[in-house]
Amino acid sequence: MSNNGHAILLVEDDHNDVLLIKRAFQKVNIANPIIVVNDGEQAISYLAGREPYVERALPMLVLLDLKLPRKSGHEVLEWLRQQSTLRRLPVVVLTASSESSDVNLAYDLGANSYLVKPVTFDSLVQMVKTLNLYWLILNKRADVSDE
Amino acid sequence: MRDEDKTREQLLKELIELRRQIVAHSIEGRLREEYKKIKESEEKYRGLFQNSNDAIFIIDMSGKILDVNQKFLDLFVYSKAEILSARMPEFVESDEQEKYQAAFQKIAGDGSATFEIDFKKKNGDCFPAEVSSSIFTLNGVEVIQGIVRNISERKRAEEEFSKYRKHLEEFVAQRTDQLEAVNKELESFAYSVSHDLRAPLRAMEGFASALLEDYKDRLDAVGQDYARRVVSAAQHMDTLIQDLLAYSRLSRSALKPSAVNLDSVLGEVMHQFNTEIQKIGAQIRVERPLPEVMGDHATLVQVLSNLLSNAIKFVQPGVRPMVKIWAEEKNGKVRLWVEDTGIGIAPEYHDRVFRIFERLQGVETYPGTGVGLAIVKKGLERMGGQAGVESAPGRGSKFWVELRTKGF
Repeated sequence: MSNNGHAILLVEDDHNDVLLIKRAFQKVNIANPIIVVNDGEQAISYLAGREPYVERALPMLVLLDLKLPRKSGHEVLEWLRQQSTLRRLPVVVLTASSESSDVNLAYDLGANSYLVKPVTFDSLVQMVKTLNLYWLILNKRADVSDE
Repeated sequence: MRDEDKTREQLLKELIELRRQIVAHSIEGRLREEYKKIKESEEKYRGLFQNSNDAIFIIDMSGKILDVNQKFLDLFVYSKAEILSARMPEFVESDEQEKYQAAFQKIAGDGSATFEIDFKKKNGDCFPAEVSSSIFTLNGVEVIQGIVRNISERKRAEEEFSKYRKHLEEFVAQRTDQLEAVNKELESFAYSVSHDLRAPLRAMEGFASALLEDYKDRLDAVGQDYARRVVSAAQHMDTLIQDLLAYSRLSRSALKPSAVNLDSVLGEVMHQFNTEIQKIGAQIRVERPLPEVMGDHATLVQVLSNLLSNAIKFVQPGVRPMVKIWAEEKNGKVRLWVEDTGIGIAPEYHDRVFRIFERLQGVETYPGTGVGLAIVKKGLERMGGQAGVESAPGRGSKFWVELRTKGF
């Protein structure tokens, strides 16, 4: 499987947030497609290429919410970092929680970055702009492939 | 001189001496006095024995009772005649006989012993007693004398005390469990406040902003004003939630004061306010170096950023804020001052401004939540310090926080 996917996997259960994040991506003119899954189990199924995602393309970045149905973002992260090469996928946590226990655990489990969802849309746009510049343009990618 | 004469002379001398002595002290009188003294002494000791507040017994080495005092009779409710025909073990509770024998052996061996034992009264009632006894010689025969103290009261008090202590321990354990549960609940509450309550706010703010942008041409001025009000209300509520969270986190998390460099704290705060300071053209003067204090770094950052934010916010419209920050060290304490050129606070409000949700100005004029100074006060309390203000309307404010100097 190739490592040259350009999609962003957005793991987010709040439909309003999905809409706002997509809108912010539009505002910043990011062309990368956004794939949305709504809970932790779906995220793992997608990344593992299980049904119904057998034909999926690996993303170049995972935007991960923490408080998710079925499996939390922390659990997804823990699972991901145990995979042999998938573990190299950069994960940016994007969540509402700024509790230090959440932040610390996310880094302990191997998060690459931790962003707190801002309330104002303008701030979200600024955040997405920086995210695009750093993670989608500047950042050098590792080889990520299936076994 | 002849021998005979010598003896006679001698005898005469002795006779004279004897007579002198008899004249000087009446031997008979002295004897009488000695007898009286002995009698007084005997009476005194008998009195001590008889009237003692403790029950006293004297037994021989076989355990036979030789004498007891009145208190002993009162305690055991026997007549003297009944007692004098008895042996000591007869008064010991049947389950305690072995213990009595052991104690008796100890007295015989060591010469004395103090022990606790249960005695039996004539009516069969038992009572716990403390006995201290020792061997002494009476008329050339070894006997044992002992003092019996009824310790029922003490025993009851001890039991009561241990019962109370046990109860207290259980109570404390139970309360601790409850508090831990409450604390856990508060934490999860704070979590859900920070996470779940802010999600709808993002939607309100985000979509109202979207209306303003994407539907601007189809919204008239009133419609746009409404949408802007939704945006600003959502933003205000977000600030409120964040402030409340910060306040509640301060109340529940344990702070371990350690040495904190105020220069580095202030550096962090200034960095945080950099953009805003430049935007409004505020002038901040800090008298460095600032000393080290005993506190918590993160809490101090929060406290100082709240004070600085107030100092540059509460100024007359159009006035360029000027803030001076310096520290005083006295008696092992550091007082950090934040002085502004703002609108000032009337003395009657100096206490009130530190209460949560207390605001002196309308949100329209000076936006805020009324939590900032409450965080300052709570934060200082949690670090074992204090906070206060000196101010008058139109004369600016001097806020201070006081903490222990590093090492104190």
